[in-house]
Amino acid sequence: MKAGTAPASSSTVHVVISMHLKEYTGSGNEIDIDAVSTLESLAKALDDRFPGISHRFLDDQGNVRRYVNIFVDGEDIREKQGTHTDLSGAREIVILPSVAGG
Amino acid sequence: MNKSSKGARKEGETLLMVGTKKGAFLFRSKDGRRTWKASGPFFKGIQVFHMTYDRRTGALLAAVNSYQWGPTVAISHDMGKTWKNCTNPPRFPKESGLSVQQVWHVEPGLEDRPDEIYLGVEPACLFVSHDSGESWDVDASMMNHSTRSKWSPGNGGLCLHTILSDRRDHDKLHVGISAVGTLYTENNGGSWDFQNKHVLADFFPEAEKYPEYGQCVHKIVRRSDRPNTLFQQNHCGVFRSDDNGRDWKNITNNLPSRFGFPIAIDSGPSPRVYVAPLEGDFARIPKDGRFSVWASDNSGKEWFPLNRGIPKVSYYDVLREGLKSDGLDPSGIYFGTTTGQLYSSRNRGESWSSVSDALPPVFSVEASAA
Repeated sequence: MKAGTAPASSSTVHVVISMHLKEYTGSGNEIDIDAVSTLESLAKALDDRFPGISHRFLDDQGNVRRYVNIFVDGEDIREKQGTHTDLSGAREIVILPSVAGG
Repeated sequence: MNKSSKGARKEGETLLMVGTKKGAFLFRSKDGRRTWKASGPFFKGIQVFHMTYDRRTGALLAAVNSYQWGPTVAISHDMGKTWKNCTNPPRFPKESGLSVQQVWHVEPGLEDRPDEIYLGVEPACLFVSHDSGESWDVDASMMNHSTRSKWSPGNGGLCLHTILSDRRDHDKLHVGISAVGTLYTENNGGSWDFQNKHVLADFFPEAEKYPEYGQCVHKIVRRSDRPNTLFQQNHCGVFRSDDNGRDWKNITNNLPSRFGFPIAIDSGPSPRVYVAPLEGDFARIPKDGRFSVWASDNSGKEWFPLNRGIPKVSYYDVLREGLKSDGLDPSGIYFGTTTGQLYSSRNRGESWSSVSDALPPVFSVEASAA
């Protein structure tokens, strides 16, 4: 959990979205939304708030884009069950572009 | 969507829109194409495959491909000062199993359908917007084409890169797909037929060199005064059709190479056709290291080089969207290179001047005159 960020209640989840997507979020890139259980429902909730945003981190088939990382309480969902990761009970979801060195 | 005229194009102004590997740039000339004022980069650091101007609305439209955030179409109503991504970007339906990988070419529709815009994507398909680019519908007939499973990508990917409307009938449309060939619809995308007769594909075995489809078309243009005449630069030569694409004739003739990517045509009663030959198939650099635009004034019977003002040593590559005319009289012609040079000519290519020598690698050039 980011320092200074109030923890979401069990009925909500705190979502942090990359500032690269500020065209969609404006200055509100950290929001609390009603708790969600799937990536699909997260995408829908975010699209309701920021129309079109889910397409930037999910492809047409609902897969996470190759160079985007989604962390659930600090853990990359690729290290969990990927797009089938259960988001129930998550306190914080962070959506960031990946960074490759070289 | 805000359609204010703030920053609108001025009467008599010529626009040059340049898509690059690291963003898009706009060049504006108010003095008869003598000097250019640049703005950009828009979408800094992000690939812009194509940017064009919609005369009907005064909007700039950009096909934007982010490594991280995927493809989208962006719209500006103030000449690039501000941009807005479309709300419902092009997406294949889930049951198709397909995902849009790149957006390649955005094409405003005809005057009688002012909100219609076409989009070519990879994997190859046509999308249509009926609300000035805010949302996009897949062309189901092309998505479900009976031969799709046999379509193979060219080196640049399985991309739909050319969209040619027909001013005589808004339901008629040609598209070009690498490496599938030319497809044609007479019912606004309700069904698609191949139009590749006598177009060579000699990367296939001997018996299959003129297949129904599988041709590597690089770009197609239409002659405005005789709209049944089409020209295409293909992997295997330059071709002309005089019957709206039903049959094609090889017009490579005296070009130094059959290979190249772009083809352009200017307007007027005796239009000039322009190509940019490269040593093919594999070197893909100008012959003897000197880049020339080659042109024909007799529909491809003979070709001649246009290189006054271009350095004698010029290992330039120009991609399929990188050579365009502006439709003025005399025609302006422009090209952008993969090494960042942008050239213009105000006299149909008889002489060239540098507009910029230090852009990121240029993917596309589009010109629009008032």
